[in-house]
Amino acid sequence: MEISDMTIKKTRELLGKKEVSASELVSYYIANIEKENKDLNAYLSVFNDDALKQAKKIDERIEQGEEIGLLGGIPVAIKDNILVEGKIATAGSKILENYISAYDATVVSRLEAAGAIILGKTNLDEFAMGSSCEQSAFGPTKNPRDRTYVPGGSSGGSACAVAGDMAMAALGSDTGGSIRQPASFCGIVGLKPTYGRVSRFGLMAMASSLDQIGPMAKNVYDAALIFSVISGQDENDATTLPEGSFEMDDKIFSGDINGLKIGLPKEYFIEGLDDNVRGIIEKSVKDLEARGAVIKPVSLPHAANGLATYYLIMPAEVSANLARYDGIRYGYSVARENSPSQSSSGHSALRASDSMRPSVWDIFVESRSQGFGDEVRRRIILGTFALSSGYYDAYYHKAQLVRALIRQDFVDTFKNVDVLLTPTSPTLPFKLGDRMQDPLSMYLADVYTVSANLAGIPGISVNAGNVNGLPVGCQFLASFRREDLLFRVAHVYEQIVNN
Amino acid sequence: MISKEQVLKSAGLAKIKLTQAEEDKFSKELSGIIAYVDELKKVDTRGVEPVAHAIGLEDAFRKDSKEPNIHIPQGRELLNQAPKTKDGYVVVPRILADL
Repeated sequence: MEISDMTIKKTRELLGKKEVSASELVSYYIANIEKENKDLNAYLSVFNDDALKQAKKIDERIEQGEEIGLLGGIPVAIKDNILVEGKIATAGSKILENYISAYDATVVSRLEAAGAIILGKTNLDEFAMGSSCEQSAFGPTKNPRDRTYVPGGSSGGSACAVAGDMAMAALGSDTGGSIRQPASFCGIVGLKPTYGRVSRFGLMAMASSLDQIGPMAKNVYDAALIFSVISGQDENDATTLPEGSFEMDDKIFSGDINGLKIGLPKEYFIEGLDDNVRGIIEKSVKDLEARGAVIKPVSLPHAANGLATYYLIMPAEVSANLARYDGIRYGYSVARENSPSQSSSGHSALRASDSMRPSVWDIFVESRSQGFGDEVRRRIILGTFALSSGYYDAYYHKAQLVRALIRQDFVDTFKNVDVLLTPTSPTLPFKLGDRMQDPLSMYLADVYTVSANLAGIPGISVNAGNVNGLPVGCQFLASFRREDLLFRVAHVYEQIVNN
Repeated sequence: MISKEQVLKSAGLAKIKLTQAEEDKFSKELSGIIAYVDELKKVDTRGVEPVAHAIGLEDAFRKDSKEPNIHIPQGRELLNQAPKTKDGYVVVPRILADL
């Protein structure tokens, strides 16, 4: 069997039988990365030596007949806004170009404790702000299915690494769709867990009431397996849920969805939905019905307000969270020795103060203005405006009220159905460069995914098929802590699509 | 709508400076975004309690013990990332004279 076709489950089986070794797996992916990454730009850094060393240790343990953990020997990629101790974590930003992580994120220590091998860190829109992976300070990532298209974002590097056969699975982060939409665009599986089920300790904060880390994988089972490893309460993240840990259970993957009630929210099937996407999603509904699911039309009356609500709450939280990048404590700073006094981006030179040395205010302003890219600055300004005196009630507070209504829509709907089925994205993947000149058109790519973050519920994107070689994703949503239902239906669904 | 003055004021509050060209570009783009989010004004939210946090977790207490509960990273490694340090402190330009 080719490694490119192997799932985590199969790989663990073959490792146990010694038909493949962890060293072979790591060498295989490193060779692919060396061959493809120059063009695809999925990885920002690769840990060849550490990964091979780790693989050797796993192989020795297999040789000794020792346990190697649930993910023993599995090579994975980590989005570059998640900390791996001793390694650079850029978050796709110039402001953290040389920032070295002082500790491991909880998800990273849990993956490593389960035996996973970290191959490297993947590209993203700067600080996870974007829907195409083009907003990275280190260049765009390409879609491995067609290299003239975007891979989606912001976890585009992780999606590209998995879809491009440069990792067996990956971690992403999802604030408004940043796992599900790139999973959809690259034809893989991506899970945004219930808010609070996965620790965010060691994830660079973007919008703290929305951010959640989740797995990106080749199939639903693999995603669930990784979720079982990384989920659960963490004393270092006070927003993690008590008893939040997910346990694998074979019953979830029995293939039985008889009687499962699937809701189709009518607000998701309106104008703006690409006909190709609509056709594929409507077919999926029929297929699931044929497998015994009960399809029910439902309504989420405030769904249409999701994107506007998101684009107030998210930038408001962004403006607060990114205040920490001040040029004083870490990251890019004009106060650093040998730093250019004149920026290349057109900003004027530091104000020549009396002492000819920059004031602390100059350090703040110049470091931030030179260190942040366009989209990050746009969102910080927007968020600052939405929170500012005189506009707070009209914007931020109003968005919090509508957020309550959006959340309540889901609570009410899940009294009547088990899961919701929607497209992940209203359109097919778009061409590189197509939406870079119009921020609002880029934001519209998130229209079907943001509500899950606002409500805190889990969502999964699974490949539904292809149009002219471009993947289309199907999204399932469930109530709080009901990832088991997502896995159950998505597992059946991917079997239908694959056959 | 958001005026150029409002954009500049918000940028200033956020300690971000814009070039002349960026002032115009950002004002135009942010006006488009504000026009879009203005649709929320039409939503009836009478009697609704605001949501700041989707899960509604409250009062997460740490263990009441004198041992450190949180894994604290090596202070030195964090300090090493500052542009300038002295005796274990971050050095910044004096600020009082500038006020």
